[in-house]
This record gives sequence, C-alpha cells and structure tokens, in this order.
Amino acid sequence: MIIFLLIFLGIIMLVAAIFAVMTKELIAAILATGLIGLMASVIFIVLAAPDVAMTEAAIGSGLTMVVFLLALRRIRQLGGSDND
Amino acid sequence: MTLVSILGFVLIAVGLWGMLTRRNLIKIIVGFSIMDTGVHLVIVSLGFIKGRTAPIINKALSAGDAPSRAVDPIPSALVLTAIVIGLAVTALLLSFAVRIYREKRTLNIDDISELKW
Amino acid sequence: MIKRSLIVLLLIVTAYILYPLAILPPQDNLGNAAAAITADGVTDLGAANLVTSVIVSYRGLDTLGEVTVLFLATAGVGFVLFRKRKSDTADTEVPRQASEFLQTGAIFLWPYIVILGIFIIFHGHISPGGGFQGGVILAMAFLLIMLAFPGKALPEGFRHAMESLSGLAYVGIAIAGLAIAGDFLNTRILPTGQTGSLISAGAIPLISVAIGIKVGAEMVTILAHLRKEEA
Repeated sequence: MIIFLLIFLGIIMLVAAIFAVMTKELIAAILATGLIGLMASVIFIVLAAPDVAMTEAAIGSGLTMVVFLLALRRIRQLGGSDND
Repeated sequence: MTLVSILGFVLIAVGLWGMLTRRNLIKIIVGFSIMDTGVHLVIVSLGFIKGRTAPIINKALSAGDAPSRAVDPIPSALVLTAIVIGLAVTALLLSFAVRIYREKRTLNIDDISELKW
Repeated sequence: MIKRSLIVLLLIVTAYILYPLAILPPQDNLGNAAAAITADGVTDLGAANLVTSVIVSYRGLDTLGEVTVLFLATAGVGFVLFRKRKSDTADTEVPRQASEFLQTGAIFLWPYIVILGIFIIFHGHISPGGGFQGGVILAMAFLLIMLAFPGKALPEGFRHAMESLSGLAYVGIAIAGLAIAGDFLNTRILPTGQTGSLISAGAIPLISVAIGIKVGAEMVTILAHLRKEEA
C-alpha cells in the first residue's frame, strides 16, 4: 500500500525536477523546487524520520522558495527581467 | 528503502545535469537545490529499516524495545542539520548572483568571461 | 561539441561511482554506533527523542560546527550584498504597502506561529522537534511580519544581540559541561529527571533553546539582507 504512495510521490518529484531544469520561466522553476521539497517531506514521514520531515516542510517548501523569490525580486529591481 | 534511494540518485543526476547545462545563474542554483534534496533522500533512506518506527521513546515504544524496533537516529540527525545549512548556502549563492548582476548587468554565465580559459 | 560530451562523461562516471550505493541490500539490524545509542541513550541522557540526543549530545561538537557554518554563511550574505553608496534608485523608493488581506492575516496568525515555534523548541527532547525546526518556524513568523509591513522588521541591533547571546550561551553550557561533568558539551550537568516529562534530560532543553534562537536570528538576518530592509 505504502509503495504506491512512494511511487506516486516519486513520479511527481521527478516531473517537477525535470520541469524545473527545463523550463524557461524562472518563477515556475522556483515553484517546482518548492514542490519537490514538499513531496520530500512526505517521503521522510514514510521513512520514519519525523524530525527531518518537519525541517524539510518548513525549509524545503517554505524558506527556500522565499529566498529565491526575494533574490529574483532584487535582480528585477536592479534592472529589467530576463529569462534564461 | 531501495526505491527512495534510487529516487534520490535520479534527483542528484537531474540536479547535476541542470547545474552543468544551464546558462542562467538562478537556474544553476535551482539545480543545486534539487541535488541537495536528492542527497538528503539518499542519506535518510540508508538509515531506514523496513517495519521499524521512529526513534522516539513513548507509550508505543519502550526504552528496552528501542534497539530492535527503532530506525537509525544518526542519519536523521545529520540530514536535519544539513537541510538548515543547505538553505544558508543557497542564500549565499543567491547573494553572489545578485552581486554579479549588480556588477555585470547579466545572469548569463557565457557573458561573464573574466575567468574563461 | 566537446563541452557536451564532457558533461555526459561526467554524468556516466558519477552514476558508476554511486551505483554500488543504490543496490545496497536493505539491512535488518542497526549498525554498532546506532545500536549503542538506541540501547543506552535514554538511560544515559534521559531524552525521549533519540534524534535530539544525537544532535545535541552525541554529535554536539558537529552541531556547534554547523551553527558556526550558519553564522559564516549569514555573514557572507551580508558582506556580499553590502553597498556603501545609496545611488541606485531602486533602493531609495518608498516600499509598496501590502494588501489589507495580508496585513490582517499576518496580525491574526503571528502569535500562533510564534507559540508553535516556542512549543517545538521546548518539546524537542520528548517529541519530534528541537532547536533547528522551532528556530526556522520562528523565522517564518517574522518573515510574515516583514512581508506584511515593509520597514517593520526586527531591529538589526536586537537580532545581532540575540544571535551573539545565544551563541555565547551554547558555548557557555558546553564549557560548564567540561567544568562540572568532565566532558565538553556534557549535558548531564543538570539532573536527567523523569524521561518524557518537560523538565528532564539535563541541559538538552537549554541547548535547544540556544540553537533555536540562534537559527531564528540567522534566518531573519538572511531574509532581511536579501530584502534590503535596513541592513
């Protein structure tokens, strides 16, 4: 039963990772990275590591995305937007 | 669990490929972040033992049962600190990107040619 | 194209090196160190959460090093983004006000997030949690305030004071362990008490509080530097 959950989460993570690397939109790539962190925190719960899951849920899907978006905003403020 | 460690290795490969082939600095840092998550998955999956529970002593797991019914606490502890350090390192990389953009007005690594061999 | 073939070669070599790790047979028993920790950890240190006792006590020196790395990374962010003259127009313009939804939600949610963070820090030795998790959640609470009310972040001096004091407290507890119990970072300078109660596990909760405040202050400092509030 749990194996289907792992396969499902793994497929979502792989698609999100390949999308994050391939896409031309920086914001979409950053959001896909946050999705990877969120799915990873669920996998950590399955692997009996609740401490790691709490940290990953707060950092991987929350703070990492905020840090990327703040840096991107500063770059946009410095002048013009540019994709890829 | 083997499935999760294979997933972690594939994430490492995707992140490494992204870091090596992309031209935009932010995309390179996104690749680094993906690789980071893959490494964490691999390390935690190495400490997991099928059918065992989290190493926290409570009513469900008495102290005497812990060696036979709990998973390895050491990889969890290592990954826990590594995640926080990974965020700080990502922020440092992003601040380098901001600084490079401020000086050069570009994020494309092909245009940053001072150290090109 | 030579660059592309080099990249493919590097990926193949990496896969070859990592392949033995991927097909490692699943283990049935704990390794020696893990078996010793799970067998004796509770009676030694009195903390119900073995992950916290590994972080704070068994690998305490590593954690001290990691906190130092965190401090260095924060200092690096501040150093790299530092700018003496204020000539760029982007930085001098008045910050845009946040929407009313964000402001009301931030005021409503902020106390609860702070209480959650403090709860997770203080219960790190008896349930999942600890200094790192709680510190990050505290940083999220202050991030919410920073997003909702631009220019109202924590004062820079207060952040630096909290960061330095918590770091000093961590090292001070470690040296107290050396003086009283005979080992650097020995947490048995206080009675271990009843495992599973809030006041137990010696100095582990105190070190958790120090780590939590330090991690929270570092994270808020990184966010404030990237957002350019005042630093």
